Amino acid sequence: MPVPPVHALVFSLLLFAVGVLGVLTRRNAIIILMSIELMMNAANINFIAFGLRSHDLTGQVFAVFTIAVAAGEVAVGLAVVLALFRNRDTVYVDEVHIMKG
Amino acid sequence: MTSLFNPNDVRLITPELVLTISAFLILGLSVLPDLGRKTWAPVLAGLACVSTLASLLSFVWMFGLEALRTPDMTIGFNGMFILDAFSIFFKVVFLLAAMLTILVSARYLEVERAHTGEYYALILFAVVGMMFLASAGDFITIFVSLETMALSFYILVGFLKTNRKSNEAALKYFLLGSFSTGIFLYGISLVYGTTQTTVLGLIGISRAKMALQSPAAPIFVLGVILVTVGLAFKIAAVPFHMWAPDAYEGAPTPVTAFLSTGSKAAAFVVLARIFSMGFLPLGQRWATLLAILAVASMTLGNVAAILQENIKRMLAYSSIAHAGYVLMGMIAVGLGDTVETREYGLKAVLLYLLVYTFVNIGAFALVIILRREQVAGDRVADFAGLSRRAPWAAFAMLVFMLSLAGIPATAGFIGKWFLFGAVVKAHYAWLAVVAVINSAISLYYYARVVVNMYMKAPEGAARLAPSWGQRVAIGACIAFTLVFGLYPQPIIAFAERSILALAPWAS
Amino acid sequence: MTPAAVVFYILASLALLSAVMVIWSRNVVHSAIYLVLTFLCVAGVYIVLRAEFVAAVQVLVYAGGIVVLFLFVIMLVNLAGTLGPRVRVHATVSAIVGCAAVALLLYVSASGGLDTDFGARIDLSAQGGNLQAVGWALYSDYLLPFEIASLLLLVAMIGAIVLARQKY
Repeated sequence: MPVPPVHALVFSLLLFAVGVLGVLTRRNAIIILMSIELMMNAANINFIAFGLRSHDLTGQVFAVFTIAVAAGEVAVGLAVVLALFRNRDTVYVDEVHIMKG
Repeated sequence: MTSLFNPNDVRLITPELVLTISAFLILGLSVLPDLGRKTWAPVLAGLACVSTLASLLSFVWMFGLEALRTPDMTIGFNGMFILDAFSIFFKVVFLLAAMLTILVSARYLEVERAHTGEYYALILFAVVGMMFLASAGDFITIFVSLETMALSFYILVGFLKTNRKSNEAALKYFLLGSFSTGIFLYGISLVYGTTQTTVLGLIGISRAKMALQSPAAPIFVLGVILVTVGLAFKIAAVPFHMWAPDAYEGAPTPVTAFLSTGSKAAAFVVLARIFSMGFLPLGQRWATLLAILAVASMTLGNVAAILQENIKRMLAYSSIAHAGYVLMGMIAVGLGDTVETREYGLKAVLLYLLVYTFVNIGAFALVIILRREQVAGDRVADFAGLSRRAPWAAFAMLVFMLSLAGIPATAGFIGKWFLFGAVVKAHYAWLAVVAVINSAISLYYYARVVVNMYMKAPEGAARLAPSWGQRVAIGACIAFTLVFGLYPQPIIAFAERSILALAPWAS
Repeated sequence: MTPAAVVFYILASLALLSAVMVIWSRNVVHSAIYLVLTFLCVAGVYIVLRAEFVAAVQVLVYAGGIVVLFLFVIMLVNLAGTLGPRVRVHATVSAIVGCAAVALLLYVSASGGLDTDFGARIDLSAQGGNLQAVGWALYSDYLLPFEIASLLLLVAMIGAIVLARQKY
C-alpha cells in the first residue's frame, strides 16, 4: 500500500466530518444534499483503502454500489427540491414550516 | 471458471419476482393512452392487491403447506440471500401491510386526485426492497435493498406534489433519511475495515471478537455506533426522530400507515439481523446504547403525543414511543445470558411488530375514511361524535386505540406482555417499570380520541362512505386485534417457529 | 516517500480544501464547481489506491452525471441574488461533532491501530486487470445486489419523473 492505512482513514474521517458539518450548518437544501454526497465519498475512500490493505475486492465492489445508490438518491432528492420550489419558491429548509408541534 | 450463479437460486426469490413483474405490468398499463386515469384506476389497484396475495401464496408453492411450518434455512446467490423462517415471517408481515395499504388507498387517491399507476408500482417496489432486506446476509445487500425501500418512500411521501404539506414532508424526510444513510454507510465502511468482510455471519462468528481485542477496537466500536445511529434514524428513535412527525403528517395518509408499520418493521429486521448475527459478541455494549434510545423514545414520544391536535401527528409520536417498546426486546437479545432469554426477546420483537402492523394500519384507515372533499379529517376534533354518525367506525377506532394502549383482551396487550417480560428476564426490570409508567401516560391521549368519539356532539352530519376495500381492511384489522387478543396462541407459535433458524448464539 | 504517496497527500489535501469550500461558499454554483473538484481529487486517490475501475465510475457518474444534475436544478430554481445567511445556528452541535472527530483521530493515530489481518484472499492486480476482476465479482458473487441496484435506479427514475413533471 502506497500510504499507511491510518492516513487514508484520517483523510476519510476529515471528509466525513466536513460533510456532517455541512448538513448541520447549511440551510440550503441543495448544499445539504452536496454535503451528504461528501459523506458517501468518505465512506467509499474507506472501502477502497481497507480493501487494498486486506487484498479484498469487496471494498471496491461496495464502492461501485455506493456510487449507483448516490446517483439514484441525488435524482430523487433534486426532484423533491424542485417540487417544493414550484409550490413554495424556496429551497431553504428553515423557511419550510407549515407543520409544527 | 465457475458459472456466474446457480439457476436454481432464482426459485428462492419467486415472491419478490412476482411483485417486481406486477409492478412492471402496472407501470405499463398506467401509460396506456386515454384510459390513463379513470378506467384503469380500479384495475391497477386490484392488480397490485392480487400481486401481494400471489406473492404470499408463492411461499406455499415453494415449500408446500407442511414444510412451511418449519422451513429449512436455504442460502442462495453466494451467501447474499438467506431464506429462513425468520425472513419469511417478516416477508409475510410486509406483504400483509402492503395489502392493507393498497386496500385503503384507492378511494383516498381519488379524493386527492392523485390516482396513478406509479403509486402502486412504488408501493410494490418498496415491498420488494423490504423483502430483500429481510433475507440479506451481507452488508452490500442490506445497503442496496434498504435504499430501494427508502427511495420509494421518499417519493411516496411527496406524492401529492401540489400539496405544500406533502412537499415539506418529502423534503424533511429525504434530507434526514439520506443523512442517516450516509452515517450508516460510513459505519459499515469502518466495520468492513476492521473485520475485513461484509458478510454478517463471518463478522459474528469470530471476527467481531478479534476486532475488539485488536488495537483497531475504537474504530470497530465507532463503526458499530454509527450503524446503530443510522438504523435509529430509520426506526425514528429519540433523539433521531425529528423527521417522523412532519413526514407522517404531510404524507398521504395511506403512505403514513405503510411508513409507520412496513418501513419500521424493515428497519427492525435489519437491526435484529445485524445485531444478532454480526455484533452479538458486543451484546452488552449495544444493549446499553439501545436502552438509552428506548427510554428516551418512550418518554418523549408519549409526552409529546399528549400535546398534539392533529391525529396523524399524535400517531407519529405514539409510533416513536412504540419503537421504544420494541427496542426492549432487542435489549433482551443483547443482554440475555441464556439462549432462552435471547430467544424470548427476539420472539417478543416479532410478535409486537406483527400486532402493531394490523393495529396501526387500522387506526390510520379510520383517519383515511374521514378524509373527504374539503375536509382534511386529520384533527382529533374531527372524531367528535363519531359514535352517532358512524357507530361501527367509532367502535373500530375504539378497538385500535385500546390495543395501542395495551389494554387486555386486545392483541396489543399480548405484544406488550412479551416485551415487558423480555427485559425482566434479562434482569433489566427497571426498564419494564419505565415502560409501564409510559403505557399509563399513553392511555391519556388514546382515551382522548375515545372521549371525543363517544362523549362529544358531532360537528357535521356528513355520513362516511368507505369503499369496500376500506371496509375489508378495517374489518381484517379488527378481527385480528380481537381474535388474537383473546386467543393469541397461533401468532405466538408463529413467532416462536420463526426465530429457530436464526440462532447463531445457540453454538 | 514514494511518488504515489506524494500524489496521495497532494490530492487528499486538495480534496479536503475543496470540500470545505463546498460547504463554505455562499454561491451555490461555486459549491457545485468545488464539488466537481472534490470528486475528481477523490477519483485520483482511488487510482493511487489501485482502484482504477471505481475511479473511472467516479468520474463518469459523480463528476459527469451527478454534478450536472445539480447544476441543472440550480439553474431551474434560479437562486441568483438570494445568497442568504451563511450558517444556521447549530454551533454547539457542530462543535461537539468536530471535537469528537478530532479526538478520535488523535486516539486512533496514537494507538496505531489497523494492524489485524485476517489473511489475503484475492490478488487485486489479477490477470486482466482491475476492470475484469470487479466485473467478474459484480456478475457472480454480487449478482443479487447488482439486480436490486437496477430496481433502485428504476425507482429513482420513476420518482424523478413523478415528482418533477408538471401535472399528474
